[in-house]
Amino acid sequence: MGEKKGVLGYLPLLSLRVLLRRPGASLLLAAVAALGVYAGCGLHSLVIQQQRAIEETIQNTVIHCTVTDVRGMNADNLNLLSPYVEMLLGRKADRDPSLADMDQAVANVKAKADWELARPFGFTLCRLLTLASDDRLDGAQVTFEPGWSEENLLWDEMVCLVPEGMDAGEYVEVMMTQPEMHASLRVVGRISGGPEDVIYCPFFMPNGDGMSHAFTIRSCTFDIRDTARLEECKEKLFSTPFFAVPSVNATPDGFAVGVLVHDEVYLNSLEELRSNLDMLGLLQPLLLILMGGISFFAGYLVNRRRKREFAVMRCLGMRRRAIFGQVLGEQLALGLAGGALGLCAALVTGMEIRSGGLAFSGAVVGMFLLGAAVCAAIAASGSVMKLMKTEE
Amino acid sequence: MAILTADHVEYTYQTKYQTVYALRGVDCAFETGQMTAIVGTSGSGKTTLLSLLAGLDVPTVGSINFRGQSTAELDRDAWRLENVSVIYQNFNLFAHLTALENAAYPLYLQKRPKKQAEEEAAAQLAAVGIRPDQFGRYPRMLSGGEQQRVAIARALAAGSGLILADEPTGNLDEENSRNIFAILRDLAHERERCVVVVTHDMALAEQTDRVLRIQDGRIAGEI
Repeated sequence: MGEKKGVLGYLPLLSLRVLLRRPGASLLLAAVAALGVYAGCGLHSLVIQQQRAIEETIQNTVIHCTVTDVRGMNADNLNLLSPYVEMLLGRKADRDPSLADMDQAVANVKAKADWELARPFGFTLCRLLTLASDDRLDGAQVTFEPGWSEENLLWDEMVCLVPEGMDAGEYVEVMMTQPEMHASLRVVGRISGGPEDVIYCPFFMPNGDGMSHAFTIRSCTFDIRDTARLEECKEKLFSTPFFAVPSVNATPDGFAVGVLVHDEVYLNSLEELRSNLDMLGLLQPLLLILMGGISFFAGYLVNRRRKREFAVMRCLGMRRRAIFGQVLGEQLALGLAGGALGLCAALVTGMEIRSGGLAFSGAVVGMFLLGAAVCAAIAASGSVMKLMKTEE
Repeated sequence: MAILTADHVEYTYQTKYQTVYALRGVDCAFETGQMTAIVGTSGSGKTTLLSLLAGLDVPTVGSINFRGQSTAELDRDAWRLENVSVIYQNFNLFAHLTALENAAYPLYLQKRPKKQAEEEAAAQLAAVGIRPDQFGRYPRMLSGGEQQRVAIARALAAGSGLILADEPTGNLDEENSRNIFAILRDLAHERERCVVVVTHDMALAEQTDRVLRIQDGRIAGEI
């Protein structure tokens, strides 16, 4: 008789056997949990997909911008002053400090500008901002001198590229339209396969007022690469004295020119993706509430048929909280089994599950248990006297 | 010696349409080693009285006293577990448990080790005439008489001093009824238990030591 009593006794194991004796009811409850978790994983997977799509859209989309006149017209034949392009290119000389942090955000600046300055030695002198900015260089091979690169076209003003066949030394002397102006351009590279009578240079021509009137920009485009900073970039662009949102009512005064930011498709796509994400965000709590409700309803239907069993347990001396614990334990076992099944089904069907998905699945099972707990409380609160009255 | 007494017990409950006065002042006492029958017509209050004696509720007025202490003051769940066993007309065995497990159920509730509980239950099953080869059978595989024997074995295994039976032979044939009554009588006389049986069968009631007739919620007489 000195044998030690078990801590929980044998009853919990016996109560689990009830589940096997009632396969229909057990399957129903496990299926509820499985479907809930599967739906939860599905929702979470969709959320991940939408978030990834948003990230990819932001990372991979490049917003193309076109410089126009202030009314949004004449993009192909602009009569712009060079400082605007200088600003885009980030040339130190004229760069607005407020645009300094846009260097990484703005990319692929393509400006076409040419103007005949002089004809030294029978050569045409053309302005070249980048190698890609002049289609006359398509198919040409540019070889830079050691220690020089295309970068120097952006940052060094007194440099030039000369045709391969030109008999030039380290420097080319050029004459400007005004005879008093004279410049020595450092030869930083040679062009083969291109026009043989053109010298290219990113020439900066001071003109007293600090700006060059010598160049006509034929067209200018650039991209905003960092779309995460799109709004910031736009705000900065339009807050400079050089750029404005194109408007038909605008008057072309001052320095302002229009910049068309072609972001409609991008913004619409992003809005659609975010709207989907918001919808999924709403569906998640709805699923949790639904889960609790269905779990309660299914548990109620199943336990309603066990009223007599619970009443007999009470007659035998089982406490209400023990009955509550037993019913909850049964449903916990079914909920965990069903939840695991739902999780496996989600993995098998290729759903992407991260820690957030597991947490949400846990919340789904938690709601299942909450519904089950309400059922268990109802089951444990049944009146034993009523059972006895039915005997009478 | 009276182990259980009902003192001026009244019990009312509310249904959807009316207040039911189930007991209207019951005074009675039950002794160990004695088998008492409570008889009465349907709706007379005999099952309500049995329920109150079992501690499933407390009287609206008056008190049920076990060894001099009111059941209203007791932890009735613990009290029932240790002291009371109830036997029902429709046996109320657990369908998912074998005869042996059903008989051992109160011992499981008392958190007795499985082996010890089942040895005790097996002894009680044998005492009421259940063969060892029937121990592993589920209730649906047993006859009505056998199921009621298992229910009695469950009551015995609990070790309760008070055994309350509500129409225990209501679903049994005449021979099985006689046998079950004989077992209950032996429980009272040989094992010194206090046995209270609710029945409407006067022929069976006359086999008990004492018959209380209840009518309209009152003890109408003792036979």
